[in-house]
Amino acid sequence: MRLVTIRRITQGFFLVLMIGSCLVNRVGDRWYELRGWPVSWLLELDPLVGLATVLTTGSLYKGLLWGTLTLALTALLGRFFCGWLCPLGTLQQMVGAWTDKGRRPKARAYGRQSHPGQKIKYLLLTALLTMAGVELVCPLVDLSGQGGWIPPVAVILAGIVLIRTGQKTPWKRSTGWAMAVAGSLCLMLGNLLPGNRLLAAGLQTGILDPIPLVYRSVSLVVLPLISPDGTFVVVTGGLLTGGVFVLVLALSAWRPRFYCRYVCPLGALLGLTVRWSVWRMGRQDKNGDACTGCGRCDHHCEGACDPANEIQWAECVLCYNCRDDCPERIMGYSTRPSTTGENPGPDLSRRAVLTAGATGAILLPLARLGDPLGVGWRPDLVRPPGSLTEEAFLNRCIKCGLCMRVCPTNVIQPTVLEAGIEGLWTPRLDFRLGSSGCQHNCIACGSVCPTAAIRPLALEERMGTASFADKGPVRIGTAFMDRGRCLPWAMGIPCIVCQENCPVSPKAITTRTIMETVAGLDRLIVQQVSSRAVHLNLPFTRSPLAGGDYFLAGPAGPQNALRITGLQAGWIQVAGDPAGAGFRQQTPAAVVVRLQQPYVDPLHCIGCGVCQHECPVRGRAAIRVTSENETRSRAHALLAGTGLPHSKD
Amino acid sequence: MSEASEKFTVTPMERWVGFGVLLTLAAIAFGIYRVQFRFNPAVTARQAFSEPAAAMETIALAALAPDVIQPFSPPEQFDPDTLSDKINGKAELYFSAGFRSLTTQRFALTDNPALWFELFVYDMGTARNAFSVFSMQRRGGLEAGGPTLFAYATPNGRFLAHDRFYLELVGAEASEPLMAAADAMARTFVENIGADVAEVTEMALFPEEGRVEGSRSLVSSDAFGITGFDQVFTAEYQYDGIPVTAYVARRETAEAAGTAARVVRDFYLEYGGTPLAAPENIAVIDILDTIEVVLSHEQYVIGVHEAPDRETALGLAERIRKRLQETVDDRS
Ligand code: SF4
Ligand code: SF4
Repeated sequence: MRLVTIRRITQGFFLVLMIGSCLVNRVGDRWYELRGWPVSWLLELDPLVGLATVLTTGSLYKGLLWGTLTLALTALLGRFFCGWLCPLGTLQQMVGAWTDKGRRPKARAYGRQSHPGQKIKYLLLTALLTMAGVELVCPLVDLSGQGGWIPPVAVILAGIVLIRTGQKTPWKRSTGWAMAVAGSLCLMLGNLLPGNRLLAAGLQTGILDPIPLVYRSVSLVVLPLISPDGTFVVVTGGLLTGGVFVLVLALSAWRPRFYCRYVCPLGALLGLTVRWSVWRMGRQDKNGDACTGCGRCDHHCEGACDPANEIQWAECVLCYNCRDDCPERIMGYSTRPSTTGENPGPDLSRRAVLTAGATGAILLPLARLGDPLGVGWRPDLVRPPGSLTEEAFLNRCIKCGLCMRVCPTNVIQPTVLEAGIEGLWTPRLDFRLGSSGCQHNCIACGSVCPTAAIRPLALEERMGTASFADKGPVRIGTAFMDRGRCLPWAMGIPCIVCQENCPVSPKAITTRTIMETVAGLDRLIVQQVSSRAVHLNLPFTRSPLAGGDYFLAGPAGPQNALRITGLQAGWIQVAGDPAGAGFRQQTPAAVVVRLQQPYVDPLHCIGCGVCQHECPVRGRAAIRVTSENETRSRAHALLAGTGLPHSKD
Repeated sequence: MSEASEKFTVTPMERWVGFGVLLTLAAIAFGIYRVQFRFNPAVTARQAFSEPAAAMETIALAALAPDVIQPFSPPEQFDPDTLSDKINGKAELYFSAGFRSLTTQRFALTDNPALWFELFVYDMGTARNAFSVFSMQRRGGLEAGGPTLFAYATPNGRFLAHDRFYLELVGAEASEPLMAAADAMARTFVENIGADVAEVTEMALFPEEGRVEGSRSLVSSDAFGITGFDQVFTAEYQYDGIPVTAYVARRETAEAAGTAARVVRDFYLEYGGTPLAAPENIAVIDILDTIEVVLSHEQYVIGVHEAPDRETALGLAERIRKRLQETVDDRS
């Protein structure tokens, strides 16, 4: 079997694996549900996920070690991940192949020629990694921190030594200069701008990283649209998520693998890794007379790496098409360099790299000027249970959408701007859009999150039982009553839906009962009294007075009012003896309603939002959960210092 | 495909590489297959709810669930001390009817977990008590029907009394598949408990003719505002569009029944009723232009309330007495 065929089989395998991973990502034990399927394995294979989270957090979450395998194999073999594994690459390749069919060979070859714009992806990678790693220089700049001025001065001295010892070695000299300049800059910044906010790091690779992108698009757009399990799922921001996906595929109809060539930061990372790879593609024309110059090796090249001339090795995705196309059989994969020469890496100008790095470094400090992680926090941003503190969360979330797909009530929704630009596509809880609130006994989102932005919780920890009993359940927020909208509070209409639905025990919603005269039914006159009914000059009323909460009060006052059991042609039927309760002809009477006005007890409320979801006041519910008192943040503790339990961070 | 590839020869090396790649794919597939047996904690956490807690003497509700639904929350139990935690607003009503315990659990459609209902099983101690809460909760104008004699449905709920249990199955929304699953579960519950409505014999005494469907209920205390007139079964009848209520109450002895009938008669007389001519041992009273009839027969008090005329009232009371007589004869 030809290697091209093997490559297509492999691509199909990983495409099916990706779609299957999204499809089965629903809590359940049947074969088409979560069971033990490694739904995040492809994400873990993505080395950009591991590298970026290492930069932002200084640690590598267990599963992400798989990424080092990808990197090692790439360093050995070339960009096999892009050409053989990446599902987004496969989808683009399919679109490209389909649109190429209608093109003439010349036009086809034109679309597959290398282009200087392919460098853009390296600059994007630079910007994203600088954004992720900029805080690493904090010890150099923060003179008040550990080590004081010693680290920057040490860097300057090391730079000077390199300059002096590397007179004849240009890279040593430039490195030395770079170190000396950077050290001086740090020393200056540390002195001039103590406590500056210029060094803020954040993880934004997930926006462009193809594996999270394809997971997110399939989970949040494709599957809800085709609805394979017959469920109607609401997803916010579908146009944006789906629009990006469609655009990526549409552009590959114009230029094959457009995204891989010009945008993909993962491709760029792998492109940098292959610089010294052992095996590589190239022309093996020892005597220089075998090539007839037909140029066919260019015709189906997926990476636009110019195999007919000096091959751009960093761009090659090992599609093997050139080998397949060459009529002279001189294209091949070998440890020997290409006889027509090769360019191992992207030719990037120092200025462009510095500009990209500086852009990446400045964007986040700008986004954080409003202090969204401090005083400017958004209380309506409720994160899933087990989420790390907001900053740590943003430093880990790769926006892959796994948590959103797995949520059994679909209460986890992707943010658009609710968490600021920085939080785009991160998960938030929307209690209106889900089919219920956050389930008290569910730990699904943390169990599938590939980076532990949502930490995996044990059920006992989530519910605050067994060894976690002293810590109490995990709280994601607190419900607040909007008395201006609540039916019993604002309109005198009986309702205890929120109290009845509150799932915690003891309930976090209690009620206080009051009796209130119903407006318009307060000055009634008794016309006639029968054994269990009273005839009144009752005006038309829409209130279903016989619901059990309405009473007829007579001369004996509201304390001795009789429960209304029915209403018929001016006769109010009551439970009890009206005559015994003092009702006589011409005595005054009034309809009173028993209202149970709800209160939230912050001590027991876990912020699950079931009350908000069930509240019959549609639109903006009369009880709403905000992130106050969430377990993950001490700063958001309600009534700080009054001993509300279990805050930890 | 290019023309060149048609005459393409695969080198042994490429063949080996291809073979190696396919083997790797097979190994990955096998690895994934093996891994999927090690259930994700999220799945095992969910399964924990299928099994009732061992220490608790719960009704294993999950075992009654049809295939189309699965547990969506753990079973919870409430006793008279904790009932208010669950149903704060209505707890009193249950206490007054002899409440013993409540078991609840949520179930969701397996295909669509967004659709769920919560099952409330109230153990009321006796069928009479169960029926009492059933009838007190029931609202008018609702479709009767279900797996038991005493059942009714709302668009998003099923309510029924069976044996000593009162059941509510309340859906998150009005959905046909969800309610079909709720019906199936209620039916299985009833079948599991076995038929036992014999205790509520009074129910059978109301003749079908003219009776309003689903109108029979049990008033546990102070029926018609008459202090001490407890445990009274009532049924609504319609005569030419005029509603009439019939009632039956059983007492320990025939004497007690006789005393209760006299209390009822005296109550109406005291409130301005006028006695009308009547057969022996039957009181017929005209009060506010409606007719009350009350009599006792063996251990039972039989009555008709607010009838439009004497004949209608006496006719209905007589039919109930006849039914009672037949039942007694059948037993002897
Ligand atoms: S040179 Fe060959 S192997 Fe490399 S991308 Fe182009 S066609 Fe594919
Ligand atoms: S459900 Fe809504 S309207 Fe009803 S009491 Fe609760 S908050 Fe108020």
